[in-house]
Amino acid sequence: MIYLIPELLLVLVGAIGLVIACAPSRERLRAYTVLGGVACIGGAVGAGYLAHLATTAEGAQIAESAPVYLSTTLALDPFSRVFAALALLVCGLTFIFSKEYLERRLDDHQPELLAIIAFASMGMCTLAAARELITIWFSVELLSVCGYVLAAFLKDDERSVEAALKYFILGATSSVFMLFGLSYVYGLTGRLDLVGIMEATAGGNIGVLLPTAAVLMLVGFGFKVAMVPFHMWCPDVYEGAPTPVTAFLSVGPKLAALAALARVFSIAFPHDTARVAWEGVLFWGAILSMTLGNAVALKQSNIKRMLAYSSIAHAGYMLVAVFVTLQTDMALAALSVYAFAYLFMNLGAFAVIIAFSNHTRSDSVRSYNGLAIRSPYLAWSWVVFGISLVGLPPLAGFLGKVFIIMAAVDTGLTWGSPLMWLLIVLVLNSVVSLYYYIGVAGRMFFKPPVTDEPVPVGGGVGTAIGICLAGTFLMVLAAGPIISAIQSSALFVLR
Amino acid sequence: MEFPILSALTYLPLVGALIIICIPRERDEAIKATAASTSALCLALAILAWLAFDNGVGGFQLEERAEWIPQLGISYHMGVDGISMPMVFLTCLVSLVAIAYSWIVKERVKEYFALFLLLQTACVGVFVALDFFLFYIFWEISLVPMYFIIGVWGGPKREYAAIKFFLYTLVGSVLMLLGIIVLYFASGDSPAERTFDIVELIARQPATSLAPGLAMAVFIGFFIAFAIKVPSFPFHTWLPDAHVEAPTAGSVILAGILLKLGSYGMVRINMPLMPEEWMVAAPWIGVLALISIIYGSLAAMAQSDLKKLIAYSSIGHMGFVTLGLAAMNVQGISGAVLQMFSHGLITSCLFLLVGVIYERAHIREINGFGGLGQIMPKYFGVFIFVAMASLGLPALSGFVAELYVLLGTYASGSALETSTEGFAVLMSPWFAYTAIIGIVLTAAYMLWTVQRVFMGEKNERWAGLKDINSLELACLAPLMALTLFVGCYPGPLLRPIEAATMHILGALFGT
Amino acid sequence: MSIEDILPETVPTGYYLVFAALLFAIGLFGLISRRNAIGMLLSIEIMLNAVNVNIAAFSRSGVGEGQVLGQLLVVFMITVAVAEAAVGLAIIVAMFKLRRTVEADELKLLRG
Repeated sequence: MIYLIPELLLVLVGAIGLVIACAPSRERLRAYTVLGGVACIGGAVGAGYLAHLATTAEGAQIAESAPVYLSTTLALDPFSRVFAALALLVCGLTFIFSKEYLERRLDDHQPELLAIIAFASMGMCTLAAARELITIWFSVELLSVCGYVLAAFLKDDERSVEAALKYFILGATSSVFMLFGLSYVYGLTGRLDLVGIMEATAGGNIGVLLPTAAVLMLVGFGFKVAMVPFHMWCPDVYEGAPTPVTAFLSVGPKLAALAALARVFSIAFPHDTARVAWEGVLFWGAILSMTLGNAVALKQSNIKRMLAYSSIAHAGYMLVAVFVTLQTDMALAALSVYAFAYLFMNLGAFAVIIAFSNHTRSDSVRSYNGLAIRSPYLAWSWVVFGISLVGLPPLAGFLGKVFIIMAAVDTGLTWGSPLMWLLIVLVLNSVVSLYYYIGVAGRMFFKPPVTDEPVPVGGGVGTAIGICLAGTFLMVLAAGPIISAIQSSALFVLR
Repeated sequence: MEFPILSALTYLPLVGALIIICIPRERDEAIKATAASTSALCLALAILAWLAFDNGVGGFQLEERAEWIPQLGISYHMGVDGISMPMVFLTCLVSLVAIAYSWIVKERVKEYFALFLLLQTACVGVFVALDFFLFYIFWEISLVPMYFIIGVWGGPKREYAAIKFFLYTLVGSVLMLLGIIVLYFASGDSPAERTFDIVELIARQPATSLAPGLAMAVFIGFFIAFAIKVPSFPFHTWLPDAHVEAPTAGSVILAGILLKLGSYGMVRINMPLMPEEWMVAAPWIGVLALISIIYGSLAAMAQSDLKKLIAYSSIGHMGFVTLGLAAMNVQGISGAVLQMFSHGLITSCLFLLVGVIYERAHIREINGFGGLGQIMPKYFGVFIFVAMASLGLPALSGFVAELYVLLGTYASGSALETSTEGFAVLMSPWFAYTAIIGIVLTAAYMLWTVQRVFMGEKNERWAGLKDINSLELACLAPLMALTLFVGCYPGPLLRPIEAATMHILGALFGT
Repeated sequence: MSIEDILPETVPTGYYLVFAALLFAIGLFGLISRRNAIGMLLSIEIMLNAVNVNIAAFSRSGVGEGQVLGQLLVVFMITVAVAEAAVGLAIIVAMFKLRRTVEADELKLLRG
């Protein structure tokens, strides 16, 4: 049962938020933000320890000896605990960097926003751990419904509501497609647990309907991940939603859905035509996501929109790792490492944007001109996160990219194989992405500022940037222990 | 445990940069003093390291090893041999000169000096790293400060030049990254056996176990990464832009050190790690080198901007380095390394001299000057000396280096030499004859430039220009002295280089 | 001959599947052709019901544990779909308060 602590902690944090919402006050909100953030980040460390505990032999037994209603629905294995740690980190960081935003930009209902984020993070945990289709779909819905509410949180702002409406209609549609696929999987196999589906289809002769059903299910995941061509909602929602929510949406649901994608499809559909179908979709999805995401990001004038396209591209990089899940042990390790790196650098970049827009109320790329003079801390932080997002050493993004390339090469790369071209597309895309990340940095450093007025950085968001900077640097410099922890966790996936 | 002198040498500038970050923005003098003293201390350490280094031995010395990421076979491994030791020394010297010359900078001083020190860390790191992971980290770090140096303190088109520099070099390095990882997986069958250690990889020759097409692709990936940095034709187009826009000290570092990273990569990684592919490609590399030499010299002759002229002359001179490496024999490689060292000295001087005149006149048009010899006699003298060194006057370092390269190239193409040394015939003597045309062209444009700038009618517009001052002279003096010393007495420098070269070739050919 | 003789004793599963597929297609068509947000929401609900029919039919033809799973799934789906629709309607109401329209074509503040 102790393996369930991350989920329980998030429910508790969310519930406290709802209680506070009944009698809101400035002091209570502040205490809730800070304490909730600290509790979640502490919980993330705890979840990391749980992952470590579960890799040991007795730990595995404990995980398996959980009550039946738990062990049949959730795989509390090291891999899922790593993603629980990620969920807690996302939640905690979101709490902390939302502090100033909530105080200045929202008039009421601030505790609810944080509570919903905690519940959505709980959905992330269960999605990454789910081992049968009802739980998976349930977690996806939890994430989605929370996401719709969060996107609409500035209910007097037309852009926010418009973003939420688009998110809702496209999200609901994609989840219906996923269910349609799910219903056929259930009909063809009579099972809903992943291993059962695999066993029922093991004999071969599965016809054409199962691959179709698998691909339909992929639509739902593709939507959550923002894989091209299911990415249309992403830029609009990211631009319209409140910025802390955008930051959360760009990391949380995406990572959880990727973990679930890797688990579901590698366990349930490892055979013949079904496998060919989903691997094919992922292959092209990865190529298109990387290329389109980076290409369109080049000409964005709104920085949130730019990061939306960049997050599509990053989903593409991670899909490469998911694509090779069945071919190498390294794939899940690569996914986990990249997920951690992406969390730190992307949330960090968003924290910079939040700090800037808290003061200037502007998200246009042009307004960042000369930021290096107005606030060197923000400007240099952006440089670090930008370089890390490109994948340059010695920062976290580099380690993630190296791991993904290693996972792909580990499959036995040969001259002219599709995977080789995939890798070449991947590295050339990092070059393209340099242009817009560092282009914004160039604005900050090379252009004269609009005004000389300094940009004050609030305590909450400043702390969050600091944590992300530390994470971005330490992932490479202190790589040994981190990598061994993640790698051994990723090797241990409960089927 | 011995004192880790290479780590100290690498990270000392970084420490200096961190100290500078802590100094308040307004205290310019303190920042400059910190930067200069850090850099001077580095030079002292580099000299100490060279004293501790045994010049007669070929392998790696002063090695440092520590575990870093053992699961992936990544270790913290540093060391120097006779090729990297002179380069480390050159880096420290040129960095000190650049920082000293930058005393005149007034704008955003804090960031400027912090970036220069970071750049020094990266460059030294590339030369001493013996683990691919470490090497790649330093290799990429070197791009970031240079981007900002060009972009913030550069000329009118600085943003374009800065991003072009960054994008060009990044294309090369990501291809190298793919190559590194493919070699890593070819280095062993199980995760425990695989390694990123460069020395270990050279011993195992993982490229031989790759499929032929893939091995050549990896080789080309590495070669493009290094050729962009050198830069060799046809990957050179970023260089003139970057040089023209960069501030003087930035150009000095760029030409004096950063270009050498490329040729260093070829001799440290490309050739020993994939010798068979190198031999297949050598004639083509030689042809590219010849095109660089001739094209660089011709393009230099056509320039009217003094700085652009020197930028193109760099392409020509670095062509000799590539040519010497393509020869793949002792003279060729030693000559190439010597040319790297000599070009680092001479070209730094030339860029400093351009900076000196630009500070005063605010133009760089060659035809806008004339008769400067009468107005600035000391400057004229220094310029003549450096121009002569650049065009390869005997008794100056450029001559020795280019002579060695030509000898090596000739030897590589003649049966006479191959029979004694046992190396393959890679090129024809015609390569050497063609390269000589490049030397003639260099002499032509250098002398023509001197004539246009310094000779002729005294131009009244420049009558008020002050002659070169003592700070500038002090910056130039050590570089010029070394040029003369190496030119007259190359022995002390050639000895470690030749020892290291023979060690590399010996391991490859078993002689 | 009465009508009971022509019809089979139980409706084969295939009939249900075809019906569900048709229902799904109708919903999808509605979703694409409708420009009113309420209409789109209704179309999505029709598609959801198609899925429910599918699962109910499969559940009936299944055996043992599989049968129970299907019924379970249908109940869950109906509940969650209601929650989702509630949130969706709330968003539509918020939209209407701000703009006095819920036409999807009017959603053009966010472009890029």
